[in-house]
Amino acid sequence: MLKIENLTKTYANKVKAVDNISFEIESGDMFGFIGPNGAGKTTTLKCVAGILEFEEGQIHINGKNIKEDPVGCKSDIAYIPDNPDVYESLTGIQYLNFIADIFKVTKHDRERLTEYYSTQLAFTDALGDIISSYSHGMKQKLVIISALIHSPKLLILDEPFTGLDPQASFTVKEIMKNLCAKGGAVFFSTHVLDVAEKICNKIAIIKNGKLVALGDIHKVMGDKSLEGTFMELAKNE
Amino acid sequence: MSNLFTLLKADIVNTYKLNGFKDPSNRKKAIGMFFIALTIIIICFLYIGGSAFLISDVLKSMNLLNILLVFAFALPFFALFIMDIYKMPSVLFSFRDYDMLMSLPVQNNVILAAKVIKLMLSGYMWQFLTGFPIFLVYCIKSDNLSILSIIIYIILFIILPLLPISIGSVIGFIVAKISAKMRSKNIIMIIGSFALLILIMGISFSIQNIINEQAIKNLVSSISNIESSFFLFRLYVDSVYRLDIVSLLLLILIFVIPFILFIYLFGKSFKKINSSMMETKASRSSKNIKYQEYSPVVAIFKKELNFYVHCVIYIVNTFFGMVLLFAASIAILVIDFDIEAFFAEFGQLATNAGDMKLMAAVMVFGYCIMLSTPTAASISLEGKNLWILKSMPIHPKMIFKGKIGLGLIVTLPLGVVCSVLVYIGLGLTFIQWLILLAFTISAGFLSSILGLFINILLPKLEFKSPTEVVKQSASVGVAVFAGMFLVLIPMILGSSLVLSSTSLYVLVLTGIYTLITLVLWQYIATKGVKRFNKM
Repeated sequence: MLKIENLTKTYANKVKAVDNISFEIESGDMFGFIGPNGAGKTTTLKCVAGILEFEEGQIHINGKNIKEDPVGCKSDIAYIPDNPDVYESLTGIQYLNFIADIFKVTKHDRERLTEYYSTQLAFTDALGDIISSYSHGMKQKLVIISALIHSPKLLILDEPFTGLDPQASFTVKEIMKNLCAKGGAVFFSTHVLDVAEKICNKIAIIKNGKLVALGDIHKVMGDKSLEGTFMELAKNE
Repeated sequence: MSNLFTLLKADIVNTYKLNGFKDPSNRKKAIGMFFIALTIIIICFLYIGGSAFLISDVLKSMNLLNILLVFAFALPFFALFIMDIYKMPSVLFSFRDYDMLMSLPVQNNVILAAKVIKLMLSGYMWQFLTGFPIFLVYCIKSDNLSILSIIIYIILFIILPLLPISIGSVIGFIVAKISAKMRSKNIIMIIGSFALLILIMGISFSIQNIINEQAIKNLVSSISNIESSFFLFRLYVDSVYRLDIVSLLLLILIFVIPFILFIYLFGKSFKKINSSMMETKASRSSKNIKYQEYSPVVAIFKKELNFYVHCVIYIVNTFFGMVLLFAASIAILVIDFDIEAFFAEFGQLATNAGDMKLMAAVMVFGYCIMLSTPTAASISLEGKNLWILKSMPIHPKMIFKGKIGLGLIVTLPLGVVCSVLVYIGLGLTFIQWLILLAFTISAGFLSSILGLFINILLPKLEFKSPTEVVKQSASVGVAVFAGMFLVLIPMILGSSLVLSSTSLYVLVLTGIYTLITLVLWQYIATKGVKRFNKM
């Protein structure tokens, strides 16, 4: 589903935000990406989503190269940023229609999926309201719905649970699990280690742009908790 | 008191970005901005002072020099009055730092006082720019100036902003309340802004006409009545010129009492008013939900249009050229003046008056269309939302087409309507109208694509408010300058050539515009895409 090979991203100040990282995510994987602030998580996610250009390495999504076929790659993924910055002057439904138009979702499908996910996230009543009137959590819900209405194969989420109420947080986790169960994959960053420990089958821990742990979550953790493993790695490296 | 000073200091440092001077990475920019601002201030000061100086001799010869005092009072008074109405919704109501300030252990009236004092300081600055140069001319030209006059002027200088703040706040509050209840609430602000801009232009042209001595004499009879016809003007002149203490006290009361009342009443309900104005009118209904399908380009265009109509500052700055064109086209139709005689005066440029009319129309159309380049800010305005476009499965060319569509919708429909009005108003031939129409369309495409081209080269994605992009970004400035260059240079060249046919010249110009448009599009579709991907 996603293959990252020797990815390196350097910013203008010559700092390597991501330094030669490689890993693979397969269909059905729930892949947690963990690391301290400024470790390179968001930069990696943005490179995969086709938002940031990178100098070295390759990213393949469903066999397509993000540099050679960005449109094809982006058609298969949905990206949810850590901060839900969206077009504030649109209404919720206008934004969803906009995204659906770009992803060429049929009228029937967009109606069905919007209704389904809006109900799941208790968002139906807010669809007709202008986005500038939404709270942070409501904007986050809108972005999540917009990501799901085009049925992505790979869902990329940056800190998806920030600002969500407990019920919405639970629903999002269920949606992520369902996507993986149906043959899709989820690649998400989080600081909530308990959640990662409960729902991920694979994890990667990144520090200073380099991977310090990677693989099956149980193998990475050993007999410790994920928090214990993370703290140990953070201290040692 | 110390809280008041602290709040005021923080607000002023933040508003005027004074820390830019301390920050080594921003110091050059801050110093540059400071000198630009200083230059503008000096130009305004000299322009107003110079205009007053030019009319002062005629006024003095007619023993009406005290009319300058009326101007020294009226100009800042009305300028502040209009500005306070305009600024009030964001300074005293629903201001940005409301939540932060209200959470501080500071009395509400201290917060209100800090906001009002900031308004007053800005009022003094405007008064210094608009009224003081005129008073200075009065002082220079007056033969029997008393020191008491200057002292009274200073006292009135200090209290002058109080009344505009009080009345402006009440009107601003009413406007904000009405507009908050309207579905298309920005319409009030947009119409008001255009009316204000046209008024300022009208006043500017009038001042230039006044400078003609004969015109002054013709106007003197009406101007000399101003002092007696408007109560405040009479009190002001009586105070400063005739040194009448009763008038001075009355004037002070007229300015101070409404201000005290305003502070007392508004201070009591400051929190309540602001809380109610910040409430969001969420409909919580599903009646607005419609599912409609569009192509990606149309979807992008609709998104652009939606933002455009919701951003007052964006419309005011990029649609004003077309409003001017429309106003001029209507004026040609309805104002009764001898067009043939007017154009017959210009003999050299073209072979006949008909050609001259076409040339003039082309110049005005070109000027107004080149002023209307929303695309020069459209990439920048994506700002934090750029991730949405960049993560979409569409080629950047489609995004560009949607943005160009906005530029075209701003210029072309109204441009075509204006060409018809001008065709009738100026009495152009049908062929000349077709040529004007072709020029309008080519200028519309050029303006739109030129704006996008420049914005791709000079994006400004980090900003706190759209005003920074629309009014202060390099891209917008360069686009307007480049547009003017593309209109004025061909006109200057055209006037220096011996033309056998103006129509042919305009057609050639239309062809050149089309060629430039195609070359720019070629750049946008190749290197522009790469630049966009790197943003």
